[in-house]
Amino acid sequence: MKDMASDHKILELKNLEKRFELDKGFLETLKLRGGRLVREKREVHAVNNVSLSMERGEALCVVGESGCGKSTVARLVAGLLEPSAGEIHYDGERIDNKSRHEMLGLRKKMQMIFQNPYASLNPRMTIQQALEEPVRYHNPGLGRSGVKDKVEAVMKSVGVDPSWAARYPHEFSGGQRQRIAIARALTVDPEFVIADEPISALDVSIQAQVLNLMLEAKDERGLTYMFITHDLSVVQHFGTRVVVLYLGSICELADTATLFESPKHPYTKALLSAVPQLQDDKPSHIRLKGEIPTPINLPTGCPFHSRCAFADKRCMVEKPRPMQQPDGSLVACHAVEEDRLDT
Amino acid sequence: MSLLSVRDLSVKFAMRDQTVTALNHISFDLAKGERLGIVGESGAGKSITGFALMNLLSRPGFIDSGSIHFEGEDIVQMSEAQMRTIRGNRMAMIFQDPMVTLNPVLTIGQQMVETLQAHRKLSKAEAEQIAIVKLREVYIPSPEERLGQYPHELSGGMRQRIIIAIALLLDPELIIADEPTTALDVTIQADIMELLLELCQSNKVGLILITHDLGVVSQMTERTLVMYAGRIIEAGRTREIINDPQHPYTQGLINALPQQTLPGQRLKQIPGNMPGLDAVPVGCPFAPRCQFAVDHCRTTLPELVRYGDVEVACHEVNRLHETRTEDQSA
Repeated sequence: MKDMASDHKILELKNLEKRFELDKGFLETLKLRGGRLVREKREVHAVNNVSLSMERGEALCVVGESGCGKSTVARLVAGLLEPSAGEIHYDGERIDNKSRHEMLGLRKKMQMIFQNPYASLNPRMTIQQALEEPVRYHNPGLGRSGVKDKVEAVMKSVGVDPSWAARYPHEFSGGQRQRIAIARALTVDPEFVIADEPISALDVSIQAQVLNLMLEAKDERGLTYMFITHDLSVVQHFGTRVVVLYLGSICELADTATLFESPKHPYTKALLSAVPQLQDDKPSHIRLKGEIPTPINLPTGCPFHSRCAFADKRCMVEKPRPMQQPDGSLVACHAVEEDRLDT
Repeated sequence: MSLLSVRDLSVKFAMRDQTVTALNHISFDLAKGERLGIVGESGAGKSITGFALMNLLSRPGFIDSGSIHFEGEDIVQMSEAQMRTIRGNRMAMIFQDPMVTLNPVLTIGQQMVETLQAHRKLSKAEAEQIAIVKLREVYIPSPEERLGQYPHELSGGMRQRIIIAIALLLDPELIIADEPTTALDVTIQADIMELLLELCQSNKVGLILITHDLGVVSQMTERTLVMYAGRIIEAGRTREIINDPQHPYTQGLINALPQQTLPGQRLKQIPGNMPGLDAVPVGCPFAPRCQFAVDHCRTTLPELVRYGDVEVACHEVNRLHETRTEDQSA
């Protein structure tokens, strides 16, 4: 008989939207326009109509530049933010409309690792306390020695020396802290880990250590990762699939190998060309015109049209939908659809 | 004569109970118009080098010994008044965070005019004309309008362009850029780097680029210094160092990059961490993390010596090179 759980995608986002209100109070909404007082609410459109699904055991990388909504997507999935519209399904069950209380059980399955390991560990808790807390919370039946054993086992598996247990976070370097933060996420045996720029604050030699650790945890525990990053060389190494966001919308979604071999969306191409390579002897990138527009007033049509060399009339008025390509990737671009990109 | 000549420069920090050494006898030269990269990880002493060159160290940091000759004059011996005629004028610095460098309560125009008038006798109108020319050089659209704007009204990339324009205002001979694009997105980083390279080449300005990104160093510089725990451990032509690094740390740094490993494979990590300034081991500072270290490495400090086309501070460089050559031919 087929395992029921494997029938479901582990995660599905359906037309996910997130808008942040800039003008919260009544008084803030009052604006002077042409000598008249009007009410006007401004909103940041952080995530716009994002749909995607994830299979068990994959590592989906969400990439894009600052303000593209990648962290917001992570926080929506983790339930730290409420979507303005759309649905989030985890393992076949809708989770975006659940109460805090109902989410508790899910937190055991889904853990998050943040960018700054200096901020994610409580400075007044020893490492032992920090690691025990989630175990005790999620396994109320476990006795004191049970908790201790569990913590020690996890510490060993991620290379955290058990003799560190009595020490405080400030006594450790950034790389060690991130290791501890990962240990903390793994103590409750999650199946899904959301990592938001987990190595961006670390030095190159330490980045390699932490990435190796995350890859090991993936193999040993069969973890599914949602990995948020701006660093494309890490994506190529770590991700099984990649989704490229621009101004909160999906530009391209593809297998990692496909994306790096034949990027299709003009933005993806520009992004890939901008990564400095070891063999370059001068900058060689596709230059984009202008700058990222503000997500307060989203451009009409394709969000990228103001910077795209291939934009035409249609791009300015009609927002492209992600379309399946022959090689399986999804690309939201009229120019790709009409085959008018010179390759 | 070289533009800049640094000899045996040591910088120390006087802490409450001890004095730690942040820069340990570093020496290097920079020719006119040459572009030099300084790479290393946090705490290696790259930024301290930049600050020392500008004579900008403030307590508890101080230059303990050594000399920095800029066009024949020793900066270390200069009074603050003398230094002020050089800093910003013949030598300029670009920092990582443009929001911290720009004064938030002054307009772009005020800041540019102020810089110009500090070094040259110019009327406000004349200074503004120069500012507009420089803003145009860094591809700022409608520069006349920007002069009246405040830093917060501009994007990060735009601000960093303005910082570059300010650095170039007085046609310096040397620009020291300390992680100038680390706070920016890759597409913007690429634009800024290209701009910086173009300006340095066309104006024959020397560049010291401090960064942790070997890809950037490769694109931008002719020569590279690799620093570790306050020392230069390898120096030479950039291409040479990236294609055939001699020091085990440089090799480790390059090999640790994800591009150097097949996707999904274990990355070649360097074990351990860089020692803190108060706990630098005797002998080679890299020895505790080095897989090739022998007894000698743990007791005696290796000097930076010429090896082939580069300079390397490693006792075992000969042996390692031979083993590598054998491995390759085998």
